[in-house]
Amino acid sequence: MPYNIAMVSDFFFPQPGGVESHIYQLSTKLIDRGHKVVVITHAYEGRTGVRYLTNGLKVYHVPFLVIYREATMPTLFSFFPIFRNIVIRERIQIVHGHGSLSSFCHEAILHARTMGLRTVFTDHSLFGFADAGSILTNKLLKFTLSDVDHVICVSHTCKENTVLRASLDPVMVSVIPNAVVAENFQPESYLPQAQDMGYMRPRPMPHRLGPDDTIVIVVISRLFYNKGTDLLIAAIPRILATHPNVRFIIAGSGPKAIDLEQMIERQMLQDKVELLGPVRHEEVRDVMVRGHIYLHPSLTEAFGTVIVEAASCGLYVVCTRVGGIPEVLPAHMTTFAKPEEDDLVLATGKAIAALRSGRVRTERFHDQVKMMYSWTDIAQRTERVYDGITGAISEQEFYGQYPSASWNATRSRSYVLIDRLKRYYGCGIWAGKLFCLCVILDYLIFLFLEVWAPRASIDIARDWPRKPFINDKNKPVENGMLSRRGTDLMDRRNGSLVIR
Amino acid sequence: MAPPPPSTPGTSSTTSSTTSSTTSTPIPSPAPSSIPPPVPVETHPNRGKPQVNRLGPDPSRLAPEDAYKSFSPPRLRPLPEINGSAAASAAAAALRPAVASLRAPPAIPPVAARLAEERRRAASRRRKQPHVWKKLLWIKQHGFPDNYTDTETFLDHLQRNPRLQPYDFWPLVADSTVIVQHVCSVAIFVCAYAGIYQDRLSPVAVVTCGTIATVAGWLVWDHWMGQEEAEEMAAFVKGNRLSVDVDDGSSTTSSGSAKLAMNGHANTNGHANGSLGGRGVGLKLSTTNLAVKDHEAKPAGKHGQSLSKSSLQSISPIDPLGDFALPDLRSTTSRPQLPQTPSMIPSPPALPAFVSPRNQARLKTLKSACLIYFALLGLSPILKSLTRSTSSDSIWALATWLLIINIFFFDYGGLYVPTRSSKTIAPSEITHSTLAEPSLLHSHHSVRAPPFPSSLSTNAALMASTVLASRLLTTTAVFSLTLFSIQVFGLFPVFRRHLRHRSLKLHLLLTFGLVTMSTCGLGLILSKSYTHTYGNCGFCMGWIWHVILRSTVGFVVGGFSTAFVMGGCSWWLIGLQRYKNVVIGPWDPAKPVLAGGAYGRSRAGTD
Repeated sequence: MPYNIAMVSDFFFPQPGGVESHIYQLSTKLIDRGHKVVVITHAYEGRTGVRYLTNGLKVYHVPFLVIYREATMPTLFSFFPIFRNIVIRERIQIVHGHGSLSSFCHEAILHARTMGLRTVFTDHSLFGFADAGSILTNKLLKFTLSDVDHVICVSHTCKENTVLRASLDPVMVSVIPNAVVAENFQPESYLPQAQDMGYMRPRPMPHRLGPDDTIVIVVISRLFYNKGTDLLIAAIPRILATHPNVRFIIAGSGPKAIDLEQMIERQMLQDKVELLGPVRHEEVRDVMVRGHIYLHPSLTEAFGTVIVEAASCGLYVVCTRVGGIPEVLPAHMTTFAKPEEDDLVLATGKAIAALRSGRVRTERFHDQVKMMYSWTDIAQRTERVYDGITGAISEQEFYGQYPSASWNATRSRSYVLIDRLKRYYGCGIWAGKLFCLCVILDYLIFLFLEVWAPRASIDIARDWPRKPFINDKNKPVENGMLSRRGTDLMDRRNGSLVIR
Repeated sequence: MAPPPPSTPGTSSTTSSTTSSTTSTPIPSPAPSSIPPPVPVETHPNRGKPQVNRLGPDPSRLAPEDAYKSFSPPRLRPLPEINGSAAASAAAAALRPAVASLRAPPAIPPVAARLAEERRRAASRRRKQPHVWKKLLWIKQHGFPDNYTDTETFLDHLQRNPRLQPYDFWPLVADSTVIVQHVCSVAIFVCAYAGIYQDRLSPVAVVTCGTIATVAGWLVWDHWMGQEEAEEMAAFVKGNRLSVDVDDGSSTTSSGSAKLAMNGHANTNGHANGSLGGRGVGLKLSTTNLAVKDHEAKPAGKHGQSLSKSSLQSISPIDPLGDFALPDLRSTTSRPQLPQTPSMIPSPPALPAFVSPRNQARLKTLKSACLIYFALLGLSPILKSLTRSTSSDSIWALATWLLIINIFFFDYGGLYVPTRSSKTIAPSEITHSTLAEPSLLHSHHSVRAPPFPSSLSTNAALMASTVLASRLLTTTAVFSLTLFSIQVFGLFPVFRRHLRHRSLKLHLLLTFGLVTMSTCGLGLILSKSYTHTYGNCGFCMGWIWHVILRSTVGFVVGGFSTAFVMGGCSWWLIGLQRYKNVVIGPWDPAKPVLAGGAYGRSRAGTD
């Protein structure tokens, strides 16, 4: 059945970023599949009230105090009245929060459980366990995730991390990666052809790079410490010293930009290294197609969408083996390096040699990446999660079979307050009691709101005309006035298989 | 860094425990399915469920349920426990190659990769053989749901307490003596001050005892230094013969090997310089330390400079005076380190050539000692009235805090150790690799560099003694106390370090002596009943009896409480180690390793 879904996060457009585009793409594809999706975020500069985006995506910009890097102040309860209003108005069934640094999302999950809704949380980032900030975030995450129905992580490493941080049952955590809109990241000389030729269709002749042709290495990242800019700064002069016909294009800004410029000036590499400054997300592809190798020296990364985008643009990828990066791309598209200067130089040298010898067929990367990652596929897998938590597919099917009947505790989370309190109580000696107190208070506020602003007095918003619902077999089913459509047409419109 | 491949421990524990489980557990096993069923796990600590028997402890591996059970010991969850049959474990063993695909991705040529992919697709079309779950995102995991948790690869890169060293009780107690020694020497100083302040103790007696002890200590020290220097010279001569051909090539190499030989020499100079007079002193610790730090940034030749700089910093009241009043002597205080520069001048030109380097060093030590002695003598009247306008309470509070800072920021690690260690390995190093040697030496130094300057500790102590001394009434008392504090806080730690390194027995004996002295002193000072001042009664029996009684009481109480605290703290620390839970995994931000070559060093200056 089609669901009414609310995506809640602090991070959404107009701010650019990975989480933001994830929410947007996922919502769009879910709408395409016949669901109703609204996005709840805080008000941005010049962006308040209710907005409609393409495809009928409704965005609520809730006025809220922003404290740090677009994250709102954690107030725990002040969000509840307006959240309840939106949820009732839009007849929301599933609340889907994004981003572990977003206090909006945590509060929404707590309130949604109090109101008796199903909740899903998507984690986009990795956290350590050592420093004070991580410990605080982890405790908060444990609070929220004690009572969440399901968690989605973007990579297996991210899943391990989240399971450890929030003491979750691993079966309750799904791994659903990010994806790329492949048609936005096409190589320069890409001519899309008839789709049914598929893998066997004739391809443009690969133009081999001669030993004296210039190889351009592209780096697009924010120039922060944790993006490995120090490694980059150390490696560039050595790479250029050993390979004379190599140029660098570096896009992005950040606190390490000064170091990078100093290095370029000291080593006098102005004619070999081009600094572009910050580029917009739409321009990333135009920068990428100028190069042959994408260098990604990051120190921590949950998924690394940018290397998928680079591979989709037909670039050979050199990246550090950290976080979830080793899971993202197949071995023939990447060269891995340890996060060490020497190894990075070595790996880049290997990649240059591989390109020059013609062993790497970069012109095929785009089609391959298109097969690997598509938002339609992601939306379908997310829909299965929704099915699982709402009971549309049986618990046995969703969580797996148990041959031994000794363990038969139910995995679906009941809304009964005492059950919820039990879950929160296990969070820690002191934290558990504190969390229980918060939950009880939240419940009291909920009761008060039911009396003060009764459901009957809240208007129900009219829905945007829905698209035909597609079930798991990829077939549209009857949905009101809309007529039945063919599978191929649906898929074509979704952009998953082919673009004209 | 990478954890060992789990296949070997996995198989061994599997085979061993399979036999045991087949005999012991009569549970009929289900037919091996294509998907190994997920492990039944508890979600939450409060969702209690009796733990199934665990077999085959393997500290390097974790099972999924270890993720949320913080106190369970890290173990391998053996496969038979999951399925309970050998057939199922065999099926799981068939899964294992999938693990390798993530761990060491081989450089697959694209053709092979494509072939493999086509094979995989063909297989998926036929749906014949069961698919293998891989820890990858870019493949479609046919037949596996998104929330499938692979027991084999889940958390397989997690390391718990990777650098855990279990402590033993007695070594821990032996190490804690270093702290006890320092605390005791501070206590002795405080007792001496209290004695002088209350007119129970003659300041001259205090400073005489201190000076005698210092001179004796210096003699012992000088003896040791002579021995070490001889050893070192022998090693250097031996090594030099082997490394002659490399030496003329690069300047770094030659300076490195030369520096090695001069290390001990310079140490002799520097330490002896301070310790002879007993005054040059507070600086000794701080200077070497700072010099070491400079040393790692700039390979050679910086030692002398940084030393003079830091000595200015730490005896600022004295040094400028020396500089201006006796410009000749300045060279003696700040230049003794010069031989350490690559140019390796064994004899400064100011001294006659026939004096051996060691005697020159002694002479310089004597000179600087005299300098500091007279400077202090001249400064005493000024110090006496320094804080007249401040109330005593403020002084006590200030001095207490300064002494606490001294105790907490003291460099207990022992600066002497690195030079010694580099010395001990030096001969062998020289024999096989002269080229790598400078960097090795540097690493020895840099590894031990403390996170805070240990000059902070010494300076705090000297300031405490200065403000305390300013409460005293006579110039003699002020002079005595300041001199005594320099001896206690500046010179004595150096001696203690060397002693600890030379012989553990003497170190323990010294600890015992210090504990005795400090506890007896505290016992005497804390007794208010008997208010004899020194010399008043001419050592009458009552006074002697009082001293003996109070000392004994103090020693018994203090000594036992010291032993109790040492043992108790060690035991406590060992107990606390149980709670150590460092979790390291691939999600931690990697620490970038820069080569530190030419590029790295050139950048270091600007950062």
